[in-house]
Amino acid sequence: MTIEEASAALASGQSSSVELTKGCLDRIARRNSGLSAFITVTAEDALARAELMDREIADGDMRGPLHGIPIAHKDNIFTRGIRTTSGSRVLIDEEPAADAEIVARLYEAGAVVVGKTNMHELAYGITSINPHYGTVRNPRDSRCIAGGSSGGSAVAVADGMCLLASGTDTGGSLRIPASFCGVVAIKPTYGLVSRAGIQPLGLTLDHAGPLAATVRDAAIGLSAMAGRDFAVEHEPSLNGVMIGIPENFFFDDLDPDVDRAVKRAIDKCERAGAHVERVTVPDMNLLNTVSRAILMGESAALFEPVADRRAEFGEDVLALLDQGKLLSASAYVNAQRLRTEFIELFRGLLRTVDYLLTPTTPTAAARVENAADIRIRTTSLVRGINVIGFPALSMPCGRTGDGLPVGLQLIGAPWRDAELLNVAAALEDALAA
Amino acid sequence: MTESEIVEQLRAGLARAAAELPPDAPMAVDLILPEPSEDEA
Repeated sequence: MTIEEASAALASGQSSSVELTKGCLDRIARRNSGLSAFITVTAEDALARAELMDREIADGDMRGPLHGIPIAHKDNIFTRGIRTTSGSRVLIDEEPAADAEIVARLYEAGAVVVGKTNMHELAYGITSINPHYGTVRNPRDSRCIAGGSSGGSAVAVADGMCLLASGTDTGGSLRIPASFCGVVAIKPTYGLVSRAGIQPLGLTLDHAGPLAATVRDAAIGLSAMAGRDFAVEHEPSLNGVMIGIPENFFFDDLDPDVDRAVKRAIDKCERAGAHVERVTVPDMNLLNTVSRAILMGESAALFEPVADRRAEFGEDVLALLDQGKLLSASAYVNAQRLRTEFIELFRGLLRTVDYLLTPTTPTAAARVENAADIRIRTTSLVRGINVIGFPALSMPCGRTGDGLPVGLQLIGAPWRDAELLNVAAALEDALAA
Repeated sequence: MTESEIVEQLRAGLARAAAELPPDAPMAVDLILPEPSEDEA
């Protein structure tokens, strides 16, 4: 069920928030032990809140499309009175004093929080194989990873444990799990969504955003998070939209099933009236190096106060923190100087076309046992976009021969998030036709 | 590769690329100074 459908059912009295919430809590109770999507489930609070939301509807006071809708928050997003772990042993806050701004905004919109989702430790990785809270497994094939770092949020939405989830994205952490689990996520323009009350990882790279089953639902989530209206138009169109397809880098190293699914989507764009242009993108290998250097430096600085608690970190996170300690100040400064250059290059590119369309990840979800060394390849098509801060969305565009979801990425110009969502919704319609 | 070798490879790549930039190429920063309030002004 989508948020649009659930909201209509609530408004017409066909369903209640308590029914929806119980449905999600039942699903979590049945499925979470196998998928490890949630670290904390807030069943009692959720049902009390759902009752309150139902009373408001009965009084004729429906706040909007998220009124009474069950949602979840990634566990690096602070929630007043609800334990927040950041997927870590060293940063556990048993009883946070305040809600993150996006949590408060989603409450204001009428949402019902069913729990806090599992994630890659500290959001510093893309497998969501968490040594402390369990491996988040892909609901499409539980032998596979969910992706990360917002893995639990993507699984919760994909598996019907909630209708919307929050996540964060420092180098692809919303888009990668969305791609692997077959849901939609938008990393908005840097600065559009408040990061107040969210555990940082990369001080100048972190973004927060929604994961949802459809583009329209993601737009509803982003509207509440950002405090402005991103609702998709009634009949969004691809007619006349200029879509750039990179002729270098993005299609060079894809699994054949991913290549096929994304090219089919490009074909659908053209049939729906879009103009498809081949474009040359800036040096993405260098941009990814810039991303790694900035993140290494910023995360090492952030976690310096707890870095001596080495036994309490997972092996992969510890290695990255160690690399960050070795990074010189000159490397960090050079990365930030190159960043400015890249922003200008991409600005120029997005003056020649409206959007870039790429795969989100070069492969579908890997098996858990094969997931150890895939970070660099899996982040290669997404992490650079955090460096430039442009909005980027991942949406499903097909499946592999094994039935695993394939995602495509649409990248837009800064502050064009509304237009990006409209074009993505039009593409979603075209893919479904 | 060791942690040091990984970091050295990153540093060298960035140094080579940054050498191509004009010397006054600005560094991207997050600094946004608030406007003074009426009291401060």
